[in-house]
Amino acid sequence: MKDKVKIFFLIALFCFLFFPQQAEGFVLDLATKQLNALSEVTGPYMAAYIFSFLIFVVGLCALWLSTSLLSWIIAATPEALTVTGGEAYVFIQAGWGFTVGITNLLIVIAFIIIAFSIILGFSKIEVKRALPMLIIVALLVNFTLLFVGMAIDISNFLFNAVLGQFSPEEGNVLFNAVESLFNASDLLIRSFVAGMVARVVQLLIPYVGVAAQVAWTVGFIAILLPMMLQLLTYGIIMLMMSSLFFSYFFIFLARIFIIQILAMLAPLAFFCLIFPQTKKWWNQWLDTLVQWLLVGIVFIFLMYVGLLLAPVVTSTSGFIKPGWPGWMDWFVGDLIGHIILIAYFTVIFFVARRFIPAAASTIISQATGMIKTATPFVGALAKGGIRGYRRSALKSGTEKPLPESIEKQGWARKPIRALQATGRPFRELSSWAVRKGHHLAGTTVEREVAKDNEAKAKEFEGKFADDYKSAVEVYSGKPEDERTETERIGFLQYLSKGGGKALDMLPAERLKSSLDLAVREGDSETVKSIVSQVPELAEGKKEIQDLLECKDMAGVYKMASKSLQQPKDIKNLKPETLKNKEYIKAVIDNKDFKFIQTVGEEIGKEAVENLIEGILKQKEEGIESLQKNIGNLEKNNPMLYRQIEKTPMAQAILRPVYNEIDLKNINKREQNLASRVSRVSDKEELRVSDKEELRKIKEELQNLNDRKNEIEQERESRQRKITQSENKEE
Amino acid sequence: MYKEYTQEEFWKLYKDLPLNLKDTLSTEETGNNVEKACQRNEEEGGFSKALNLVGQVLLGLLPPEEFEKTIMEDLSVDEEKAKKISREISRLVFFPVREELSSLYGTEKAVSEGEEISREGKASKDTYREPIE
Repeated sequence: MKDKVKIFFLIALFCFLFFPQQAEGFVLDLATKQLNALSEVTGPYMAAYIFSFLIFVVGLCALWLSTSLLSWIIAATPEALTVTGGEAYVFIQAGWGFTVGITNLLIVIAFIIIAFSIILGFSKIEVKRALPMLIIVALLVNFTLLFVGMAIDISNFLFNAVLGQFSPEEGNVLFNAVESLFNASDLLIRSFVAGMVARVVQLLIPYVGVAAQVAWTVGFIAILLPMMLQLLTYGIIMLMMSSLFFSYFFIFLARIFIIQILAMLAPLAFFCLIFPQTKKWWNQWLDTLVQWLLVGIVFIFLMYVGLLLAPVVTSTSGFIKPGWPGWMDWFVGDLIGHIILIAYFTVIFFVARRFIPAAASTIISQATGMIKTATPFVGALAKGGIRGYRRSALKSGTEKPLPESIEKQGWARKPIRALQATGRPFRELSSWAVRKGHHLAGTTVEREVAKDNEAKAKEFEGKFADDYKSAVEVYSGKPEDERTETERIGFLQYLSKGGGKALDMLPAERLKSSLDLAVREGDSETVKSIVSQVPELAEGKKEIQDLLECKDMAGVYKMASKSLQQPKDIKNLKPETLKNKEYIKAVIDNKDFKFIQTVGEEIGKEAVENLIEGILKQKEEGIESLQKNIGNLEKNNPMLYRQIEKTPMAQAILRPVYNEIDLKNINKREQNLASRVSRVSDKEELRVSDKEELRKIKEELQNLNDRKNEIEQERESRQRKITQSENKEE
Repeated sequence: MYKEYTQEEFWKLYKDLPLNLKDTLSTEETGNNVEKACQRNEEEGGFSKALNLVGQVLLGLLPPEEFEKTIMEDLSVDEEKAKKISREISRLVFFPVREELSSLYGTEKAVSEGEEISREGKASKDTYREPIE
């Protein structure tokens, strides 16, 4: 019986192992079918889950590699960057020896040329002047490697000083800053691997696998989604951080080679010092050397400040409780600090770009490209983000106004203000970091914001040139609140180039709100250029007047009139501005005849008539005040007075004004002649010459009188015209 | 003679002038030179009339060869003094723009016929001569 059972089991085993297809209707078949059905649902999210894990792993590897490389290059720089010793000495010595030989040859040739040109007498003065420099260079050229070596030593000393100052007592400052990322990664990898193993084991057990799949699917949002988000966020942050670290690494590495190449070229650079024509190459060489020496120090300083900022920022970010779900706590607790750190590094990146050598800028450009490719929203962090940071730094200290509905309810204002205040330390800190970074780079936040605005204005100019109408149409197609602040001010700057007429095309509300924005940001240049074209915009706006340092509207008009330099500025003025009494007064008090001439040429005689009326005020005050008003012109703007008196053109186009000046001179002349007459007439006996003088004086007085009559007639004729036009107007 | 012209007339004449003449018309230096010439010849009272005549020459309304005669009439001075004043003004004001004046009075038609003010002296050849001192 036992044998039969054995044979049966052997046959059954054989069938199980070698039978081509299992029989349908087997009890486990149901479980298989259920698993297959469930995989339709679970497959895609598992794929996404694994993909996010891959991103995470790539990010982790990249971060580890970039941090290691950067740490290594920072540690190696002081030793590697040398031209007078170390391993690099042999090839630098060879290269430098070669250029010294060529330079010595060139010096001999230059010496011969100078000597011959002096002997033959066709030398220019510059050539003679070059001789002492030639001798000095000939002496110095053999010590060039020493000079460059000294400069490198100074740079290395400062580099080491920064390293020593900021290095922590334990560990490496770079690894310390990203340590929390590595620690978190360890936990994430363990969780992921454990979860995957558990899943696989569950799947192997019939029906348990089905139950587990159902459980995973039902708990997708609670279990898998947070994990996926965590993996993706960590992965992207590590990729971004590693891109920045790689860029820094390339800059530090390139710096060593470039400085060494510059050291080898030093003799030729010194030779270029001899002649004025070649001096520009010397300057170029020196600038490049100094910049590359400095760039390392500035980078290391800014970077270390940022790295030391990491723990401070992380602890500060702990106060932020944006009210997210509990399973997002990891984001608030761990990652905001790193995001801020990335933003800081990005700020350094762009700030340092302003003054570092062109080659390093290229590396940064490449890095920016890499970052942008790595993740779509890094572009925003890199460019928009930095703008945002700058602008937030500009706004620091000013609380965001509360909505009107809350402002009205007194009881709600206090707690909300208190809530707002919780974010203040963070804002202040980030603002301080941004400002400090700019300051270290020899610039200011305001200046950089102004540059951004200017770049935007140029972008509009490139797109629309002087077709302001189309520009306004396109710009107005998007609501104001969807435009960035840079766009709004940039567009304003662009329009101001087209003058008051172009600004007038923009809807009044938009113009005012954009101007208010520029005022809030303290962008006095933009505000000035707008108000110069349309001074009326400053009417009743004390903050604009304060920004322009004008006490009142008279000051604004004065500033506006002074700002106009180019004929096109005058042509683009709004007609209302040219009729504005305050503006006319400002022009009369501050501008010269050239301005009035341009007004006549560009605008026409009506505008000149307004200026004449502005000087004489005949309409307002009548003929009686003409001499008083011409006296005011002489007092307030003596240059214009003199120019009208002495210029044939002014005599023609400002005829009534000229007449009044002439009348004033005639009166003086008459007094002068009268005193001469009395002096001659007082003589007891008149000689022939005296009689002749009296005759001449009489003649001249007659001529002056004729001219006075002419002026009187012209005055009256003008008065008649004024009265007529007033009657017409009535 | 002393001419008064309206702004429209002035701008009409002015817009076609060569650049150098425009500059001479609009510079204070011209008035200073005329004033100097009048002062040296003890005719300070005649400055405004002399300046007006200079403006007419520069605008193409008074040919330079008639300048001396017009000075004599308008300023009521004798021939000798008129000669002196006009020579000095010619040397300081007209000589630097002699080429422009030649072309203005030599070949160009001043303003269209029927207008109140027209450029006179449409000579077919260059009649302007710099006085020799």
